[in-house]
Amino acid sequence: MSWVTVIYSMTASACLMLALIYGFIWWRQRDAWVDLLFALAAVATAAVAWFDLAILRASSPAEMVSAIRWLHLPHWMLILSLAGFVRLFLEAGRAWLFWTACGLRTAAVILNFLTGENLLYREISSLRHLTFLGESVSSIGEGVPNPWMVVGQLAGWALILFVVDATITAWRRGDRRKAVFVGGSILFFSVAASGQTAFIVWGHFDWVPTTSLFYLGILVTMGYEFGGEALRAAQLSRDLTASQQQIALATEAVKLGFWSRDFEREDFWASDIWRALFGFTSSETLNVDKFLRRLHPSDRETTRQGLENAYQGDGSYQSEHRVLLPDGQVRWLACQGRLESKGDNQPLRLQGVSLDITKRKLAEQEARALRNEVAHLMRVSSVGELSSALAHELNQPLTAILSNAQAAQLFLARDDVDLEDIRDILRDIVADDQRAGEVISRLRNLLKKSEFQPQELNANELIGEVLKLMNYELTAHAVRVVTEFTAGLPSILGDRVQLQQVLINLILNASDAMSRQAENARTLTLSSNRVESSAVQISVTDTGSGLPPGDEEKVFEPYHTTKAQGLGLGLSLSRSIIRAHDGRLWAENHAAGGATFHFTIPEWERDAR
Amino acid sequence: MIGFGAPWEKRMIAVVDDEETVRKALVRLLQAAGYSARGFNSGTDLLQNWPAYEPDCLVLDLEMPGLSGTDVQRALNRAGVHVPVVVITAHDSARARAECLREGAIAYLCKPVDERVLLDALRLASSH
Repeated sequence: MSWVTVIYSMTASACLMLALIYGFIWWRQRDAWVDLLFALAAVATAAVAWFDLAILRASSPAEMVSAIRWLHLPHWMLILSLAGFVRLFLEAGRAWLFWTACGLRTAAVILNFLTGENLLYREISSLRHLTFLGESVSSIGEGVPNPWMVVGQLAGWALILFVVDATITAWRRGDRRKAVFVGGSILFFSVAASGQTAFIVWGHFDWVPTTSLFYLGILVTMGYEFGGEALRAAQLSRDLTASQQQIALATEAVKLGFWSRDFEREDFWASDIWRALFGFTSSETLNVDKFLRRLHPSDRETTRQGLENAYQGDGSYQSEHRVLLPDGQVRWLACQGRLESKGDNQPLRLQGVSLDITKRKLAEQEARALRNEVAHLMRVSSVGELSSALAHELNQPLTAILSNAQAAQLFLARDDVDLEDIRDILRDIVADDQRAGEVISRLRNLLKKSEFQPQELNANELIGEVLKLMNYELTAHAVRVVTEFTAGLPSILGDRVQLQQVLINLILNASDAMSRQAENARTLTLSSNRVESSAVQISVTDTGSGLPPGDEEKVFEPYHTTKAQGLGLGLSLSRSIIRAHDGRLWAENHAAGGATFHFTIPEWERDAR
Repeated sequence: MIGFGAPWEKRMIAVVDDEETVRKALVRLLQAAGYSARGFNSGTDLLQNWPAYEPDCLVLDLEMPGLSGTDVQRALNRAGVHVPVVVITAHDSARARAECLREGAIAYLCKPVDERVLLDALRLASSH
C-alpha cells in the first residue's frame, strides 16, 4: 500500500466532499455566495492535491514541468476563492488589497503560461528521488528558477496583507472567534506553505510539495467555524420557528390580527384573524378604502386622520374604532401600528396589530352607567343634606312674592290707588319669581339623571354657581367664604352637573370638618389656577382639624368615612368622576391645621372637538 | 282690609331682615295695612338706631348673619326694653321656636307669612 497515494487521495476526497456539501447549500440558496466560495476553494484544494501527487509521481522532467504548470490554475482559483470568502464571511478587508491580491495572482497565472516552462522554473533539467513516507518519490534535481516567480510571491504577500487587515477589523468589531479561526488559519497555513515552496525552489530545503495538505488545514479550520455558523443559524431558525409558534398561539388565544400596508407595491395584507375581525373572507382583496368603509361612519374620519398623522408625524398609529360587520353586528377594535420609512422619509410600510376590545368597551359602558347611577344617587343624597338650605332659598322669594301680592291687594282696595306702587310691586314679584325659578332649575339639574356630557365650561363660573346653591348652608354654619380666582383662565372640558357634584361634596366635607372650630375660625377658601399640564386646578381649603396623618389617600377608598352617618362614598365617587374627566383629585394636609382637596380638569381644546 | 282697630294702625313697626326683597315686601305690606313700617337690614342696624327710633313692635327674622333674631331679643331684654316681637323664619324648628318664645316673642311665624296671620299677630301685640 502506498501511503503517499492514500494521503493525497484522501485529501482530495475530503475536499471534494466539503465542496459537494457547500455547493449543495449554495444550489438551494443561490444568494449564499459565501457557501459557493467555500465550495470553490475546496474544489481547488482537491485539484492542488491531485497535482501535488502528479509532481511526486513524475517520471521525467517534462512531466514535472507540466504538473507544476497546471498546478497554478487550481492555485489561482483557490486564492481568489479564499480572498472572496474572507471578504464576505468576515465582512471586512480593504477593497484595494483584495483586488491587488486577486490581480497579482491572475498575472502570475498568465506569466506561468507565457514565461519559461512554468512560473517557478525556466527549465528543469533533471529529477532526483527522495524517500517520503517509506517510498521513493520524485523531486526537482537541477533547474533554473524563473525570476517572474516574484509576481506569485507578491500575490501571496498581498493576500496575507489583505487577510491580516480583515482579521484585525473583525477582531476590533468584536467578531473575535471568526477572526481567529478564519484569519488566523489562513495566515498560519499560507505563511507555512509559501515558506516551504520558497525553500524548495531556491534549493535550501530538500522536501516534497505538500501545499494541498496545508490548504486542507485551512479548509478544515475554516469549515469548523463556518459549519458552526451554519449550526448556530439552524439553532436560530429553530428558535425562530418556536417563537413564531408561540406568537401564533398567543395571537390565536387573544384574537390578535396582523396587518401591513406596503406603499411601494400598493399592497394591503392582513392575517386571517384580522380578516375575521373585520368580516372579510380569506381570499378577498383588501385595500385601505375597503377597510375604512367597514368602519362605523362616526369613526371613519378620525381613523383616516389617525393614519394621515402616522404618515406625516412620528410614524406611530393608534386608534380605537367600531367595525360594522356585514351581519349588522358592531365590534370594537383597538389598532396599533408603526410606519417604516426609507432614507428619504418616503413611507415604505405601515404595519401593526388589531385587537378585539368589544368586551372591555361594554364593561366600560356598564361601569360608566353604574357610576352615573351612583353619582345620581349621591346627588339626591347631597340635596337631602342641603334641603334646609334649599327650603330657605325658596322660602325667601316666596315670602316676598306673597307679601307683595297681598300688599297690592290692600292697595287696590283703597280708593286712591297709586298705579306706580302697583307697578313696583309687580316688578318685584316677577324678579322674586325668577329667583325662585332659578333655585328650582339648579335643583332640577342636580336631581336629573343624565349621561356624561362634557362641554366647554368656565371654572370660576362653575364655582360661583355652586356657591350660590350653598350660600345659605355655609352662612348657617358660620363659614366664611374666600374666593381666590385666577382671571382669564382657559375653558375646561367637563360635565357641569358632575363637577358641581364634586364641588358640593368637597364643600360639605370642608364645612363638616370645621364644625368643631370656633365660629370665627371657619374659613373656606376656593381657588382656581392654571397648571402646567394644560389643565385648570381647583382647590378647596378648610381650616378644620385636618385629615388623620397618613390618611391622605385612604380617604378616597370606598366606605371610608369619619362621619357618624356617612356612607363613605363621596370622595371615592368624586375621584372616579374626576378620573373620567382625565383629571386628578388628591388631598393635602396643612401643618397649621386644615386640609386642601385639589382637582385638575383638562383644558377645553377647540381643535380637539 | 284695613282696620284692626285704632290706634295700632299708625303704630311704628320695625321689620328686621337681611334679605332685601323680603324686607321691602313686608314693609310694603304693613304700610298697605296702614302701619308706619320701617326696614332694617340687620339686628345691629336696628340697635344702632335705638332709642332714636323706638318702634311699637318688631317683626324680626331669625336667621341673619351677625346678630340672629334671638340675639336681638336678648340684647333688648338685657337693656330692659320690652317691645312686642313677632319672629319670622324660613326654618321652623321646635328648638328655635321654644327659644324665641322663652325670650318673650309673642308670635313665631314661618315664611312665607300670610297677611292675615301676620296682622293677627300684630293685633295680638297691641294687646300687650
